[in-house]
Amino acid sequence: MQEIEIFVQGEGIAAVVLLRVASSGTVQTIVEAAKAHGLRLGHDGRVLVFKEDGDVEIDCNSAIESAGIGHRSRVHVHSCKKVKTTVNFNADSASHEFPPSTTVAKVKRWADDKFKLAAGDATEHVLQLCGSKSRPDEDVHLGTLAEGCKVCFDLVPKKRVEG
Amino acid sequence: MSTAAMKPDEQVFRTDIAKGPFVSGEDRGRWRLISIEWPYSVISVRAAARKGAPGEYAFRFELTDYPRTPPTAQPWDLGTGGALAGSKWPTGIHRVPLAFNPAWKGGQCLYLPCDRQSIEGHDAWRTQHPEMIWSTSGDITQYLRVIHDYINSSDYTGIRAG
Repeated sequence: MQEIEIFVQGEGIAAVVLLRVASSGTVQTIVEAAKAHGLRLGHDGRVLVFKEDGDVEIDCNSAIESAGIGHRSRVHVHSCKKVKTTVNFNADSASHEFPPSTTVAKVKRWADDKFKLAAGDATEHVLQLCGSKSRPDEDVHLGTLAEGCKVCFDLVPKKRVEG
Repeated sequence: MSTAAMKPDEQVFRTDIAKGPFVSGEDRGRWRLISIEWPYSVISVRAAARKGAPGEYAFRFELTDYPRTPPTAQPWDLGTGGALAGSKWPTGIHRVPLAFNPAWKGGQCLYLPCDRQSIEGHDAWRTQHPEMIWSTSGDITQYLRVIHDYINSSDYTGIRAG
């Protein structure tokens, strides 16, 4: 039996996990393995599986290989089909509905474009969860951060470390 | 070395670098493990392309009592197996030269809130830069992400002597 490694993120999973599953299994195998790492599905208990940055739901009954999932593929498991994402920048605000499998890096690029940040300015700003000091890594999927299919960020400048 | 013969700090570190956050960064080419000779580990971090500068910088982490005690890291020369000459350290316009300062503590560490040596005497950083404070519940990727961010920003311009 050949095993493959898959990066999984999802609802209730605090950090990306590296799962080993049989390549001959079904997508449901990934969901079951993720439960042991904290996967906790709310919102009617729906199970939606996506590839990273993808918006096409993958049938849980399909074979892993035929679903296009291979070694070191990245998937997301969530009960929300879309995550309403709001980004605040100075006095402006913009919202968009992304699939939960969307990386923070992709949302950041969208926000940079939305607020017309030049390339130089863009790398000097970062997304910070509203009402917190938490700045999720660019690798993190929106679904990991969402509460009730929503997430809110402030686009804030990076400060110099001095003193 | 068998796991039983390892100290707990080394066991935790080796477990962490086999987990999702570290392997994911490695898989994306953000960093790569070079060596572990406890209590040290050398890890390279990819840098944005700049004229005359390397595509990655190596850092030697000192990891005693990991993760209860924050790591400390210094730029490392993989060719000589010693500390990287100050002229080869990364630099930049505003943020980068402050963080990568060979004159700070004799080049033994980075001027960052997540660094064990630099946080000493800088309690104000805990409120000024909470996102860069080492968390004992986290792993080495906390520090790697900070370095990666600096040397892939528009503030980074290359090496000091470049």
